[in-house]
Amino acid sequence: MISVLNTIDTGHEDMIHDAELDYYGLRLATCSSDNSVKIYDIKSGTQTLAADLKGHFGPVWQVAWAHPKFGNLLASCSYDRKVIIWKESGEWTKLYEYAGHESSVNSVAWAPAEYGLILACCSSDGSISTITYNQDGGNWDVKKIPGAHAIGVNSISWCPSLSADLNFDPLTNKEAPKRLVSGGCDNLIKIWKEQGDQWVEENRLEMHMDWVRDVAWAPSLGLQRSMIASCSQDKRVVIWSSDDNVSWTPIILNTFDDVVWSVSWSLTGNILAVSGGDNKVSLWRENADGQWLCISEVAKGLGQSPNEERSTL
Amino acid sequence: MSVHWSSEIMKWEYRELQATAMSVDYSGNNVLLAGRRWLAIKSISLEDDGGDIVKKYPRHSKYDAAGAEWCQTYPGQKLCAIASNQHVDVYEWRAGNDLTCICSLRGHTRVVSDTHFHRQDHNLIATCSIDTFTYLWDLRDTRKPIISLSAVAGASQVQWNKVSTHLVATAHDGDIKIWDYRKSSTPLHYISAHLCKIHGVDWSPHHEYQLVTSSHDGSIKYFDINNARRPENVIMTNFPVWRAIYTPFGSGLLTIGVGWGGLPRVEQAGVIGIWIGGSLTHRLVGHTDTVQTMVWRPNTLPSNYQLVTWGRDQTLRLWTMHPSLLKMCLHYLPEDTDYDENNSDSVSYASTVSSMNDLSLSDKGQEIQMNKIVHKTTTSIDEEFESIREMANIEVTDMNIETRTCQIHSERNCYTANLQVTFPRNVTEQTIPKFSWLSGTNVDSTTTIKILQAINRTAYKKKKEGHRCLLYCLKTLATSIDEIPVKSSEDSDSMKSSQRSQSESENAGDSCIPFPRTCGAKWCGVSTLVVFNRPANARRLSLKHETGTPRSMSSLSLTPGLFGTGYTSVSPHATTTPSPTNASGFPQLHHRHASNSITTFYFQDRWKAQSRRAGSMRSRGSISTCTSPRVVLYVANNLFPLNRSLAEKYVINADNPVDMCERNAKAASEEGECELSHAWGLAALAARSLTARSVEHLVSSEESMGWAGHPLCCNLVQALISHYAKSSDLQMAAMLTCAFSVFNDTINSSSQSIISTSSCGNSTSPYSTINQYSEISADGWTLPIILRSSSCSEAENLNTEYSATKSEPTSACVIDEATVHLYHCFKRAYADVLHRWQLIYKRTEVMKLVRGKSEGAAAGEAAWECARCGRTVRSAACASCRRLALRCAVCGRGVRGLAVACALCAHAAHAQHMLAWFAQHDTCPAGCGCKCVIEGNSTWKGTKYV
Repeated sequence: MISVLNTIDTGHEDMIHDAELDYYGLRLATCSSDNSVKIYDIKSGTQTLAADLKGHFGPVWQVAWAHPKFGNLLASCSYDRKVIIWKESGEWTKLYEYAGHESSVNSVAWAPAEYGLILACCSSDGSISTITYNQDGGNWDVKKIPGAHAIGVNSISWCPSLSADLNFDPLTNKEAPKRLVSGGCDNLIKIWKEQGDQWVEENRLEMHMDWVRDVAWAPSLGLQRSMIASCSQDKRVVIWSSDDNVSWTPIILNTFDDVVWSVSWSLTGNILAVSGGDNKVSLWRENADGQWLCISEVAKGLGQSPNEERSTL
Repeated sequence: MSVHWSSEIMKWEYRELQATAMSVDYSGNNVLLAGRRWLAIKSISLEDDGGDIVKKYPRHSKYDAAGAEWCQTYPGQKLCAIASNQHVDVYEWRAGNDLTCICSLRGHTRVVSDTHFHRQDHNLIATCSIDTFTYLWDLRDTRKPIISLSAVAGASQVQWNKVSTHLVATAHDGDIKIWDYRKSSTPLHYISAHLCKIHGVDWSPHHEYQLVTSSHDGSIKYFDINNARRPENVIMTNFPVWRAIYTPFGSGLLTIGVGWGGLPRVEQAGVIGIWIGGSLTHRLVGHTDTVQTMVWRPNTLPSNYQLVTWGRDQTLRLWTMHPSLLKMCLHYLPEDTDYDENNSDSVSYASTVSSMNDLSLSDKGQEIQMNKIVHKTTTSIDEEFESIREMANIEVTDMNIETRTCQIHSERNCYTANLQVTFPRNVTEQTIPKFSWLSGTNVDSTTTIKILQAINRTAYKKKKEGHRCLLYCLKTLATSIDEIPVKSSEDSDSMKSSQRSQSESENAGDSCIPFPRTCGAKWCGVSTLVVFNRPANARRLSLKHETGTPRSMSSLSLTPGLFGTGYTSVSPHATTTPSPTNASGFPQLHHRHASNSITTFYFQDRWKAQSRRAGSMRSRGSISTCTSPRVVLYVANNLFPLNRSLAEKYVINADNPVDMCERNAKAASEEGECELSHAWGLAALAARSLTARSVEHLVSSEESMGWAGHPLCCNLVQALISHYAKSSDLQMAAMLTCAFSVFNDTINSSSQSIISTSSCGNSTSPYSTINQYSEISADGWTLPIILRSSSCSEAENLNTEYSATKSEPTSACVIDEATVHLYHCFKRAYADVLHRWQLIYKRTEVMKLVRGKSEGAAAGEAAWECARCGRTVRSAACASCRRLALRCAVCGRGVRGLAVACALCAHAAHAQHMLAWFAQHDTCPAGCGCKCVIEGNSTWKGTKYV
């Protein structure tokens, strides 16, 4: 069902914490505890190191590619309390550095490209920041949600612009509000809505019994249903669904053997990849009855020998 | 190198007692020795010649005395507790010669390991047992414990805090629990202190929040209970440490080892180590076997501390501390020049003994004398307390004449000092109050000891002069804090922030940062799964108390501690993980440690095996390939009904849906997608009927149900689309919506749907005249729709063709706005997929069919006023005056072909003229001064992309 396309030896000196392909799937960015971010050009089974970005002074937790219409932009966040936006113009250089957080920045996410160039980041100091590029002034405007989650915010995800239109009213034709979802150490998931120039808490979802590690708003085809996946230290993954982006109903996807670290939706929003502390990755799909089934478990011992990797999973 | 000498001044041997426990009473003159057969009370008085004065009381028990303890309060000084097997017997030593058991505390179900009387309330005693419970008993009602503190592991030690009256520490294997007995359900703090069993716990006499633990793993750790995640300091010895106790003076520490490991047992046994500043400075040698108990003799003069020890060699020894030692511990000694009447320094022990004798008169007399003293000093304590009421910068937070304590809070230069002052009960001329630090103090330990020294010095001086001392002591406190070398505000800020980082980052900071994820999977691009995880040979170091992966980063800093016992090569400063709250970033060296600790958390068990197997050169290579982190990209094309080659072959031709459907059916069958091919065939049929309808519209009443109403036309297509959308076949759903551009003409359909609903009641034909439309447009309902239609950038020239579209209304499908919107969403999502596949032309073809959502203005529509009549003109010529509306700013003629306009100054010209002009100039040809190329550029960039 799934076959290995490429195995990239990253050459990082320490554990990797995140890896992401760009919009076209041609470039891979990785970040690691060795404080560096590396960018590889991926071409049909081979890869070449394009850049080794050093600018953080602590482990780098996450990277995120911006939509290519803004140019080649990469955002990274680190334990050193900083967010760096890197830009490629010939060479990779630091475009902007944001140091407005007082503790480790745990997650970065670019807004849907339709909204413009906006980056959201969240930190262990409990706050969420949105950094908007102002094209007129060529500067970055920062908006902060202080005290978003009591002890710290672990993850953040944007509502895709298509899902934002859920309660789109054809008669008023009002622009649907921007939304964000965040998960934190207070075991809560919060949904934030932009009202005027402020972010207001629209909803809080209570289900998890321990720190929420990751949240992901599913891409939507425009169907009358929004979904959010969340995973937590309590070893559970919960799928939240809503018809109007206002009231949410949870379904427990599964309880895993170990802590669940990340959830990721496919582009069409119908397959969820789950990974956690047990070093395993599993894929989940909803069947016609609305039940979530594990369709494949990737990688029990990834990165062992090339022979094993070749095997289809 | 440590010096050792024998400073014992007295030694008694009692072989026949077979005592296993020893304790010194409140007065410091009576030693209780407890064994299986005897309880003996020995009076230590230096004037006695031998060990004669021993009162022996027979004890008939099968069990050894696990512990013996005198109550260390004045009212309860006659009480002692003997722990024996599962119960604790409390004895009262009546009239100095009659030892009677007054009660027996029975509640524990297994051996009692330790007892401790409360330091203020003689009715309270804490007992702990390996049955995991710690009980608090009130001796007035001993039927059952008043409070029970429950733990998982058996308790080996129980210790009341020496400063605060509510805190009690218990040791459970390698962990320490700190309880406030008023809240007995859960411990206040939980310290994972050691990997091995903790033998001894001792609270600091000077600090409410500090304690020291000694463990079988050979380490001694200092903890601040408010920041207990990591020890303040660690001393590694090479032998298991049985006890480690603070010196009552200064900052020293006394240890006794169990005696194996590095040194031969015989040599090590019986040696008492004195540690100052983390190194073994002195050794007290004398005992020939392991020392079982050591206690500081209570109520000695501050300048003459004495240690009482009982060893397995059955000897009881009394030791003095050499003044040089006291000085090394930063303990204040009255200076040599200030000789007082007792000549306390030169003939120290003699003076002690004499003063001791003063105190220990006959038992009867003592009682009376004590009462007198108490009475006398309560007045003086009132005065003392009264004197400080008005002091500036000092806040008295608590004052209790009953317990003779007061608590002081002072904040200066960003430092907070919380001090407790306790006035001893039996005050003599030289007795100074006892000062100890309370929680909340943010001055570091060494400085607090120095300040205490200064305060003590003042106290001595004032006491000797016969003054009240408290006021002066607090003044000393204030000046001492001022003198802490952070004078400049900058320094104090950095000091403060580093203080804060100490408390926040290590306490709250790292423990709030989620544990680093080392495994993950992300969907990227269209159907690629990016997976990274740990090498298969990396295995997690099993942590105690945690079955799953820890949640916060703070767990990492515990790992070096884990290694610390196994591999001494790990230096103690490896425990300093970087704190993100550090002021100015942290040096490279430090974070290497942090990252090391992440990898060391998952240690590689193949490491050794591999390096052994392969040669040294090759092994290095194999390790690096084995451990270097990898990312694997998986293709999951088959999981998604998105086919790139199909996307390339598909034709988008909204003008001719029949052709489009047929060609796409062919393309699908070529790709082997039979089902899709059939679907396209169905769509082609529907499209054919659509075009047929539009040609011969309004033929008969039967056919007036139209394409929209026919089940095999509009409904069929809609059903197909929704089917594919539900099964996540975005490609097919979007392509079908593209084929039937009727769905795009929202203006038609929506306005008509309104017409139909409004006119249905009149039962007239919904699509009869244009008049009807104008009627409805008057009532405002259609107004927003008209506005939107004009703002629609993509659709055909609707402005001029209202009537035209009206004339063929049946070609459109009656579907509601939400569905139309949904179909546009499909197209937008599919366009995104095409974009990711880099099929840019296909993407543009799809996007052409997407209705722009209220972005007409932003998309940039050129319109100008006619120079003649002033009307807004969108085409080349003005409709009314039929002249070319646009004049070139360069040549002055009307523009018929390609024109370029500046977005800022709105001056337009022939494109060629404009290019030629701006090749040489940078301001506008119209002479308005606008720098069109430079300034206008950003305006064009500002337009929306989609």
